Amino acid sequence: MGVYLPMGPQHPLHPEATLVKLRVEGEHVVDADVDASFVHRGIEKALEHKTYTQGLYLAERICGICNVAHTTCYTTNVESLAGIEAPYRALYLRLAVEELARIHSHLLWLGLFAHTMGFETLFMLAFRDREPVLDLMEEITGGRVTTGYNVIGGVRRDVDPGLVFKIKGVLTQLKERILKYKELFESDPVIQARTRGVGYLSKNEAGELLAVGPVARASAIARDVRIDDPYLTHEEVPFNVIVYDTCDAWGRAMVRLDEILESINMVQYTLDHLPSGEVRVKVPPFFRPPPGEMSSRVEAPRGSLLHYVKSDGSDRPVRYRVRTPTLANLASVVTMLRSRNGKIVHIADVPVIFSSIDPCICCTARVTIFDERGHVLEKPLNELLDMRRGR
Amino acid sequence: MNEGRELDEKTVLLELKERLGSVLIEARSIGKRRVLVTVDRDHYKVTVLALKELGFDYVDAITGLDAGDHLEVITHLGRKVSVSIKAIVPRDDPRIPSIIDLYPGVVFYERETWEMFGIVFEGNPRLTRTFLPDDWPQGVYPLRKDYDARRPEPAR
Repeated sequence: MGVYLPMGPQHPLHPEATLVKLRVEGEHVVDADVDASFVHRGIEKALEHKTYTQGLYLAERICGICNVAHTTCYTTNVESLAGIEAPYRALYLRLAVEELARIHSHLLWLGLFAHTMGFETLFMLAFRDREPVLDLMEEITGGRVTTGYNVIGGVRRDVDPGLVFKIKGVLTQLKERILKYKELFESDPVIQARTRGVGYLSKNEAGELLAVGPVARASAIARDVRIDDPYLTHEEVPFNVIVYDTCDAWGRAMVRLDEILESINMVQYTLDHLPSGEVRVKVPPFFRPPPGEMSSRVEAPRGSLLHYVKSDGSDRPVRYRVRTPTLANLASVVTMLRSRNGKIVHIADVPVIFSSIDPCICCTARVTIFDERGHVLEKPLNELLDMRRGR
Repeated sequence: MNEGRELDEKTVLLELKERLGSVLIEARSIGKRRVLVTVDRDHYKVTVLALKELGFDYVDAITGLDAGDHLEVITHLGRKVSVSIKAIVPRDDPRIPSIIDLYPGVVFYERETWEMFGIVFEGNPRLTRTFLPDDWPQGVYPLRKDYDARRPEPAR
């Protein structure tokens, strides 16, 4: 006999409206499902009514934190469909800004992850270290978080040598801090106790459930779009794919911390090797790509992101599809939350496990979600209300 | 895992043509590392299986599409070369076999397509409404072209 325990949709440990439904026996979680459909906005349909130029600004608003990944994916997609070539310098700048966005996204995650562990000091420190990166974003793009940097045909602003010097200085300081955090995760007994062996996802499971991003890479699967399907100038910028084989929340944390270090190196390398030239080619606002279809993939901070577009030759897409990384990882997190094969999941571990995939619900709720093996909720809201009445 | 790593889009096309032959209505490369294959729904699963045997162990997404006189299910497979299998589904009988037994992780993608386009994935045990509001009218599929997003039907 189990008890259903709803966590959310409003919960102090969820930054976004998410309902995690747990079936518990005592302190043990035996089954789980996730319902993240509370912020659905119908963006895919709305994109069919926008011109390609207008669609960019809507695509940017799919998600606040991963907006650079979404615009990179959108512009790459529409450019290859329409045969537009962005200047070489613009590709380098896109890569630099994408990696800066990865740094601030991972730092945001580090803070929220520390918060779910009850480690509020680390939350404060991570957010303090994120500030200088956001200031850099503002100086490069004009916006701290929603950047509006990528446009069809290039990027909106260039960088000058003074700014390059400043960026490199800030990132060198940040590197010191990240190395400190890595040391902390490796040595602190409390962090170890809260994350080691928690949220276990074996390599087989991760492969079968099609996990992406740091979740897959912490389970020893080297899936990275930047290596598999380079979309900017990744062939020319050296970097390592970080892989851990601990298959737990600790591994996911270490993957992200190491990725920040890799991203810092990538930004510095990119800025050192910036080619000269224009940063943007002019594209008419109502351009019409030829009939056809195209898909593009980007390694967003949370994993692989896919955009697909079909054109009939008019100035608006017939269909625009977005598959976000959190949607791909939800099958994995539902499995992680379930006690199985001798791995017991405690209620107290649920926030840590759930935040270890870096869930981005506003990205995902645009599409669909929710699962449970054997137990399917046909009317989540009604059941939730019933549950409240019964309590 | 080789995951199609050593294959480029030309080899994938050749291999597919060799294995499936006349099953393919259309098979061409639409860009760098992008392959588009069109089949009818009876040969959809055979095509997915052929790719799985070629070493494709990853499904990126499943996309539904309303092409006017028929519906389409587009399955994007592969990490390095991305193969999009487009299966044609008749509008008056929107059914297609599920590939959940080949790739367990696709369960959400199929459910989303079912909900948004009304395409039934036969063999997927969890085709239940999860994403549209509880009071959404039955039989109304918001991503089909005959649904006008600017004037939504009254909820009740």
